[in-house]
Formats: sequence, C-alpha cells, structure tokens
Amino acid sequence: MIAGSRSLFKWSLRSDSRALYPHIIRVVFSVLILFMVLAAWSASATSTAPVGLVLFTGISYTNVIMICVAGISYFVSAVTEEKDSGNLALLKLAGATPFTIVLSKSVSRQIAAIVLLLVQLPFTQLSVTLGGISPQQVLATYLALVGWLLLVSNFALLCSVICSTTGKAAALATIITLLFLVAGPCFDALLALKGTKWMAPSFVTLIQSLKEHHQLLFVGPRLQSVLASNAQVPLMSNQLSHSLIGGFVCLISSVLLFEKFSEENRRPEHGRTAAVRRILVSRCWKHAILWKDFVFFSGGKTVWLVKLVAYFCVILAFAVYQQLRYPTASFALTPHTASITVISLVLLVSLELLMYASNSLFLEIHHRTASDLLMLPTSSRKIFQQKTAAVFVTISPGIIASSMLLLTHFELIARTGNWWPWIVSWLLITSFLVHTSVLLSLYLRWAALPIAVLVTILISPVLAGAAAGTAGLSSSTFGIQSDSLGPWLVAAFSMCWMWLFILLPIQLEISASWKRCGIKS
Amino acid sequence: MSSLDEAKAVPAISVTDLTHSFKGHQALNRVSFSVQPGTLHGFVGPNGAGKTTTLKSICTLLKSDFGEVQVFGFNVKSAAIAVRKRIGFMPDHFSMYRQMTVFEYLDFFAAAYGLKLKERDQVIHDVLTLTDMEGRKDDLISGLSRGMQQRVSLARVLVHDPDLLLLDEPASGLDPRARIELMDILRELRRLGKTIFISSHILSELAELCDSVTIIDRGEVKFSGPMDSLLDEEQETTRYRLRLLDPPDDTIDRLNKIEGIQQATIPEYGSSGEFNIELDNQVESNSVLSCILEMNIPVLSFSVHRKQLNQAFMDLTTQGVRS
Repeated sequence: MIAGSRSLFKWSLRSDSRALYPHIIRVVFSVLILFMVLAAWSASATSTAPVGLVLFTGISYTNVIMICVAGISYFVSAVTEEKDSGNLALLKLAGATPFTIVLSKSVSRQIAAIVLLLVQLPFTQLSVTLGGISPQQVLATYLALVGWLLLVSNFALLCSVICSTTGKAAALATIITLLFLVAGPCFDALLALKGTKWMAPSFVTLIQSLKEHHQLLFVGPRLQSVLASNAQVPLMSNQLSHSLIGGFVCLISSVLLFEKFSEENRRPEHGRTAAVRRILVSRCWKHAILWKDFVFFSGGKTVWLVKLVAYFCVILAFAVYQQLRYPTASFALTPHTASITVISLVLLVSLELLMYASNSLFLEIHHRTASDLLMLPTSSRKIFQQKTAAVFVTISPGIIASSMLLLTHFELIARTGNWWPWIVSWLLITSFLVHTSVLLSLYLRWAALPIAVLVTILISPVLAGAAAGTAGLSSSTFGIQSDSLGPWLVAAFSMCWMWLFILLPIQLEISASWKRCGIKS
Repeated sequence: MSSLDEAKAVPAISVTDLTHSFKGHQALNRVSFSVQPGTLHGFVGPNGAGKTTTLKSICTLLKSDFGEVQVFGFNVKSAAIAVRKRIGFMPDHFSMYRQMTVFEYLDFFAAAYGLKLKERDQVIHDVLTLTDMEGRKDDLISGLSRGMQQRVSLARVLVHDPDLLLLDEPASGLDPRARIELMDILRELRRLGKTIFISSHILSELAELCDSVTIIDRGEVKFSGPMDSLLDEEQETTRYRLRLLDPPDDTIDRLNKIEGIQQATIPEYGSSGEFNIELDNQVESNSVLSCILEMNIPVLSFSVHRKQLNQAFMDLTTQGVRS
C-alpha cells in the first residue's frame, strides 16, 4: 500500500513539475506580489499606516481568496478527474486502495499549493523591512493560512469523492464555501435580534455556539487578530488546531466514503423514469446548442425554477429580517436594506455567471466533444452566440429577481449614494473576469478560475484608472453633468473602449484556441 | 453526359498534393488520391502514418499547409459549411454527451443540422432501426457498452443523411461480435448508396469489405486504387501453398530440387506440413504437382496462394512505426 501511494504521489508531483502551467501560475503570483509592493508604496503617500503592514495585509487576504477559489476549482477535481476520464476502475484494478488514491491525489495538490505560499516568503521579508510587521506575525499568519488551506483542500477532496463528476463537485463545494463565508455576518445579524419575542434563549445559545465554532474554523478572525496584535503574537492558535482537525476529519471521511461513491452507475433508465425524463428534458429546441447547455450543463427547467424561487427567498429573507429588527407597519424595504439586497443578488448572479461561463467551452474540450460541434454546418461565431445565450438563460432567475427589485426600489436605492462608479467598475471587472476565465479554461483545466481571479486582481486598478480617466475625459469633453444622461454615456463609452482594446482581442484568441482544441480532440 | 453521369464523374473525395506539418514534423507529404461515389474505400497505414491528419483535413477540421481537398467538388477550405452538410465524421474516440439518453443525443444533432421537429422523429427512428438500437433509445449513453456507444455514434453521423461517411477506426476496441455487426451495417450503408471512407487497422475485414484502398506510410501514399489490383499485382512468379501429411525433415531440400520450382519455403505463420512454393509463370503447375507426388509423401492440398491485404500492407510499409 505504501509503495502504491508513493508511486502515485511521485507521479502526481512529477507531472506537476513537468507541466508548464503550474510554473506560470507561480510566476504570475510573484508578479502579483510585486504589484502589491507598488500598490502599498503608492498608498503610503496618502496613509499613515506602515507600508510593510499594508503590503502584508494585502498579501494575506489575497491568499485567503485564492485558497477559497482554488478549493472550488482546483482541489475538487482531485478524484473526479479520474472518474471523468474513466481511470478510477483501472487504478483500483492496479491494486490502489482508497487510502492510496485519496492520499496521493490530494497531497500532491496540497504540496503544489503550499509551494505557492512559500514562493511569497522572500517578499514577506520585504514587508518586515518596510516596517509595521514582525517576523513572528508573518510566521503566525502563514501558519493560519496553511491551516485554512488544509481545511479547504480536504473539504474539496470530500466533495470530489462524493460527487460523480467534477462539475457536480465544484457546484457542491461552491455552495458550501459561500454558505460558510456568509455564515459569519448571518450569525451576527441573527444575534442582533436577541431580545425580540420570537428569539428563544435556547436558539440564541445555539447561534452563539455555532458562531464560536465558525470563528474558530475561519481564518479571517485569526488574521485580524494577528495583524492587529503586537510583535509577540503566539504562533499556535485555536484556528490552526481546529482547521487541522477539520481537515483530518474530511480526509478520513473521504477514505471511508470512497468505495461507496466510486461505484459506476450503469443501470439504464427505462419505463416510467424515461417518461418523466421526457417531460423534464423536452424536445431539442431550434437552437440546439443553447438547449443542450441549458438542459445538461445547468440543470434545465427544474433547476431554473428552483433558482428563481431561491432568489426571491433571498429578497424575502432580507425583508423578514428588516421587519424583525426594525418592526414597521409595512413590509417595504428601507433604502439601506434594498441596497444591501441588490448588492447581494448582483454578487450571486456574477458568481453564477463566472462559474457557467468558465465551464461552457471547457467542458466540451474536457469531454472531447469540441470536434463534434466544430463539424456542425455552422460557424464558430454562431456556436459562441448560442453558448452565451445559454449562460444568460441559466442565470436569468437571478437577473429577473435583481431587476425586479431594482425597478421597484430604484428611487430608494438612488438616494443612498452615487452608484455609477460602482456600476461601471462592476461591468468592466465582470466582463474582463468572464472573458479571462473562458480563455484560460481552454488551457488550464480546472485551475482557470483562480488564475482569472488573480489576473483580474492584478489588472483591476489599471481598469479602474482607465475608467476614471475616461469618465473625466468624457465629462470635460462633452460637458456632461452628473444629473443628466452623463453616467449612461460614461458607462457606454467605458464599455466601448474596454471591448475594443481588451475584450475583442481576448474574444479572437478564444475563437482561435477553441478551433485548435477542437482539432486536437 | 446526363446530370447523373456528371454527378458520378465528380469524385466523392479528391485529395491533391496534401501537405501538412506539425511543429516542423512532416505529417503529410504530397498525399494524393481520390474516392469514387458509392464505394467503400479503405485507408490503412501504421500508427503515425498520417491517417487521422488526412481525415481531419477532409472533414474541414484541419487547414493544411499546402494542397487541395475537394468533397463532391466543394473545396474544404472555401466551402467548409457546404462540405459539412454532406459528410458525417466519426472520430476514433467516444466523444459523446454521456448524460443524455440515446434519443436526446440524436435529437440534439438532428436539430443542430437544421432538421424540423416532425422530420426528426422519422429520421431518429430510421437510424436507430438501421443500427439496431431502437429498443435502447431511452437508455443513458453512460450506461451503454462500448459496442453500443459505437452504434449510437454511427447513428449520430447518419441523422442528416450525409452522402459521405468518414470513419476513423470504427471497429477499434469492439469485441468480434460487435465488429461483425458493424461491418454488416457498413455493407447495408453501401447498398443504400453512401460513400464510405474507413480508416482501420483490421486488414482482413477491410479486404472483404472495401472496393478500393489507399495505403499510407510516413505521410506518403504507397498505393491507391482498386482492391483487386493491389492483391493481384502482376508478378513473375505465382505462389502456391502445399500441404503434406507427415513430411520428412529433408522435404524442403527435395522440393527445391524439382525443376520449375523457383523457391520452396516454410511459411512463417503456417501450420505443420505446409510449404510455400513459388513457380515461374511459364511453368505448368500440373507437371510440378506430378513431381511432388513422385516424392511418395501424401499430398493433402495444393492451391494458388493469393496475396492477402496484410501481406501487401507489410510489403508496402516495411519501415515500421515512425519514430
């Protein structure tokens, strides 16, 4: 068993070290940190905070985001990639035990990720030199990050073992990661209702207990305390021990559940099941690729309806919470609650957009069906149009819910501040992120999304600066006033230059890469 | 000349000087051949010979560096959409949407080729009947055996009723029964007037099935023409296969001493007591047989040994797999 684990582990490490892309990712990460050094240096001109602390805080929180994104995209495919390619049975035939497979597949990826953290160490010494942070704090932060990494990666591994395909595993991991991230604010919000008549003391105790456990597992509070503390912060923490225990439990569960969830389901569907399926799936539409992507990549009508209900439930949940917290005669949302609800919905829709868009072409290449689509008597442009339409149909529940809320509460939300810079920034960054993740998905398999996020973090200040410059230029050139059609024109103008100089070249490269991948498959 | 004759005069596939290289590696070097409509054309060659590259060029996926490929008179580069409407390409791997049922899969491709809803039902019924998959139309593709998936794949390339089928190793990985059934389907398709271009390694089946063949090696065409002309090439000698009962050890020497026998050898893969005998074309085989009978060794059989496709293949592609 040990020999088998060692062989698989060595093979995984070798293939990682021979592949070009992991090295590119490491280089990109180094460049990102260099960029952060520049950002911290420029921030020091306007802030009294020590440059070293600003730099190190940026690096630490970027790592937290990257680990989360890697969890839902890179670590989740550890076992499912073998299931997808049909190699799992071969590995088992070769005598590999569940322990061997799980350990070798996960540890190699964890080591690759830890190497990515180690790459940053020289730069962290730079932040010590710049001041505001001590070596002890750097070490404590990195220990907390390693604990968080092991927790996230082992949890993603468990999803990979339980689910039959990488897509399903990524979806499950995404949902649970999001729930975990929003759990903290949700617990705070619920505890704020303490003292109202419907909050039973036992329920408050339960929420408090859950919050404490959440605080112990989540790396955020630990980072806050380390970065705010003095130089003599202890290296070990409850967060680290809880993360290690949590990760270990996930790893053991993965081994124990491996056999149960690795059985191939080869039973064909007949009779009543087929009849029900006919109703749910329906006949193929005139736009066949749109139908295929909508039904088979995103779950079809059933999932669409569930999502629509879920989005309206989110709105309802905000309304109910507002009513409990600040009881009023009507259920109408206040400007503040309406704004927060719209932001939450837009973020959810953006995340959905990103997930579906980055998988749209990638899954065709992964399943080697790209050549089938390229052989259809239609142009690549029309294929892309149908695929884009499928993504928008898929995320339409979120768009419908947020649009309805926005239209009914437009006046209220407009009163809370000037939203135009945020809207333009969101449009630019989301467009760039979607295009980048689609392009990278043609090269980088499941790691495309984290790299796209990384590249976007790197380039977003450039985009924001260009957008601000364009806004200023258009205002001065056309004499646009803020209360006229000006914001619309600025948004349109920003999107135009963005499309012409950034998105169009990416679109052309996507088209060329897609054809190359089709020929290879 | 009538329009029907004109249509027949246009080759189904015409490849002229097709040249392609990958990163400095010459995959195809001035490949030229043609395939007549309504025929079943075999395309054989060792691994790495350039078969799949040629197929991908014909089916519009790959744009070659040099040369011209025409399908029913349409250039694959300038009229790719018109070519795609008339061809059905089955790659050498299973590229299927495994979460679909057989019916959904065929319905998707029928719709993608522009068939209307009413037409689709009839077409899907027809192709499923032809491939004997009607009873499995509601099964998930992921639950089908490899042979059945191959049939579904074949059904898929037939949904838009293409005139030309390009099949890349269609029988690879199939068990003998599934292979025989696939060959029966191909014969039926030829009877229906389809032109079939089939790349395969299973030479014995190609010899039985194909009207014409192209042999390619190291990116160059070694032979292209009717199957009969490949197997019955004009030679100075005729090969016979002799089978004797319990021949003594010196039989081979005694056979080589008989007048008229140019060379007697023990076949590489023959059974016990078998000999290959090559006679000059001018020599009467009966006189040689008389001499053999005079050796007082019981003769079990003496017949012309026709050249097999695998022998022709080996003769033409002797240099093995390209490094």
